Amino acid sequence: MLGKGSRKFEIIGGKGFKARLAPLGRWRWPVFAIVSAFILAAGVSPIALLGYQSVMLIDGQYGLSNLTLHYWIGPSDPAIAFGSPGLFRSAAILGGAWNSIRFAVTASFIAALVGLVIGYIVVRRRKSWLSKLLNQISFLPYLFPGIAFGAMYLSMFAVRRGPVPALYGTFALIVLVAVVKRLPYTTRTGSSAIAQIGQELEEAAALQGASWLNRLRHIVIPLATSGIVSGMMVTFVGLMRTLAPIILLITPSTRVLMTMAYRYAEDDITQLSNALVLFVTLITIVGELIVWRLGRGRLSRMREGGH
Amino acid sequence: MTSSAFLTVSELVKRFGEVVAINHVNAEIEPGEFFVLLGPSGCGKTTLLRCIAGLEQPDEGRIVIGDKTVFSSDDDIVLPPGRRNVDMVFQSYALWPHMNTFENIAFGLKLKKMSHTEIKRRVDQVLSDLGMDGLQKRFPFELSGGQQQRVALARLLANQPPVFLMDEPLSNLDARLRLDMRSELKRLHHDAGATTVYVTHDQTEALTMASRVVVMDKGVIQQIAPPEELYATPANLFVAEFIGAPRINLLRARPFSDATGNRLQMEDFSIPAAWLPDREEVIAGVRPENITLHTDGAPDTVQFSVYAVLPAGPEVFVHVVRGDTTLVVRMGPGLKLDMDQQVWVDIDASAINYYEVEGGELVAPST
Repeated sequence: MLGKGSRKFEIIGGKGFKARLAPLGRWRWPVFAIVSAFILAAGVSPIALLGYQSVMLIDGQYGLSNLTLHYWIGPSDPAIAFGSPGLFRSAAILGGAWNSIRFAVTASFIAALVGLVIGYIVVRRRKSWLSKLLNQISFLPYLFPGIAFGAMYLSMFAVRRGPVPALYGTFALIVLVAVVKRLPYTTRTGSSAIAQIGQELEEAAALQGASWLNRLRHIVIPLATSGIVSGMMVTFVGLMRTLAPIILLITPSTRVLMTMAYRYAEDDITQLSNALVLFVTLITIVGELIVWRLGRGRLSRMREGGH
Repeated sequence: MTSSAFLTVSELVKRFGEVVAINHVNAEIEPGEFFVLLGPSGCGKTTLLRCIAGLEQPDEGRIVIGDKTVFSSDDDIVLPPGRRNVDMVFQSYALWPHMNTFENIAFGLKLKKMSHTEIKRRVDQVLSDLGMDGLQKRFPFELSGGQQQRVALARLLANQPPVFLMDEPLSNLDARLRLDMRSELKRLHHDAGATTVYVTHDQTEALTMASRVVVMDKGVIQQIAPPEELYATPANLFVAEFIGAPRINLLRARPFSDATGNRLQMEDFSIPAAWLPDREEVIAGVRPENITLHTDGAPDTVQFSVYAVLPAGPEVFVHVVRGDTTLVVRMGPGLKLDMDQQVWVDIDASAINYYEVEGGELVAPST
């Protein structure tokens, strides 16, 4: 039948669904052990090392007497690190942390929404030229190095050009650059979230008189939630750590943690830089947990079999 | 049929790239009709239904529902599905998995800004009519296939659209439930009185439920007729062969007349004819139930031998052969026959239809 082939990836059909778990049997513990060892080696130990390095008074001296929490909670001391106070006492760092969170949350939310709408057009208007064009364009940011991207935006928005205001130095500009830079990813997660939703679910709503916006709000977004949330999570994590595309656009008022960590590393205050990176990791994990909790909506509960 | 039609489709064309899915289709559907679109898969029946619903945009033609032109290529009219006074039951049911039964049915009513109490009254009413009381809070995945089907139906009924569209609504049910639902749907249609357009590839479903059937093939309407007429006088060989199980018997025949009257010369035998078509040669079509078997010879019967006997409960299908001619005969269970037994075939001359050898159109008696 015509046009049916492209529907084979639909998962959310009109008939409900249930999750299926595969029991591992006697492989349960061996599999668990291998996975744990991998996570330990690849994930936990580098962080532990980073943590260790952030509590060394003088970098590279491995001894108990060299341990200090100065870089975390110490007050400003002209003898250490050019007088930079510890992480939790530094107004600049805490301000940067707030900027980072604000930046990553705002940008990942906007990026997810833009990705969903572009994904919708790409999937549902598959045969139109607009769909093909959007699909190609959304891939472009992937090809440019982040730093070049930042440079382009810097020259584009440095001065006012006609109706486009000079965005340089604003929070909006770094959000914009991040949303565009993440477009290749968010468009893919958006379109896969849409592709999972059976077209008939939307057609049924259209027959009831639901406008496109109504369909998006009542059918598409609720059903795409888990896809959107996981897309947001990936974007959030990526943006918390992102440096290249935004470093040229950051001004003192829009500093984020990563640009500060970069500066500290340049100034050879490795410990503070490491502490900052750890701090970013911590925020990222907490953020992920929050988003994960939020994402455990009705649909994810349904996927688990309605418990 | 003139201006009394409630749903009119004229000169409708829908192409998918190179493929013409619907080719100049015309149909006039009376108010309250149960109009069934029947045909093999890929014949365009679902596309036609989706064009009526507004889910597919035709390339040419016109669709009028009630007194409203919902599509016209000449006047550039394309109404969205929600403004066509139709609702549809999908083959997949298309229930929204994140909404429970109540929310699924109430969705369209809420969009129409109906009051809370009225929505609740209507939803409870249709659910109780369908024997689904107490399932308001269940989600689609907590319902059986049959129940999901009913929710889809309830959603349509609660909306009270003047036109019901149904796309193979019973094809996902098991055989027994399908039979039950057939009579239930027929009753429901009778009670609601709504004009119904129903798509199926199942000829039994079409014949049992329709007030009129449209047979389509390759995007072209082959015949529009009430079920009895469709079965008794198929308009061409495609319909003749598509309708009826087992299939109609088709024999090449040369009409002639002699002292005994009008006759048809078959391969190596001849039988009496009710009338003679004005053709050198025709294809004669006769249904299995219009042939009788006798265990001994009688005038104007032809000797065949039994090839196979296929009992099917209340009836028995017997395949008989003579030379290159094979006939399928439908009989009651009374007669006991053995393989290779000699039998005498008696064909009801009045039940024979003639078709053109070229093109396969029905040959009408010249009056």
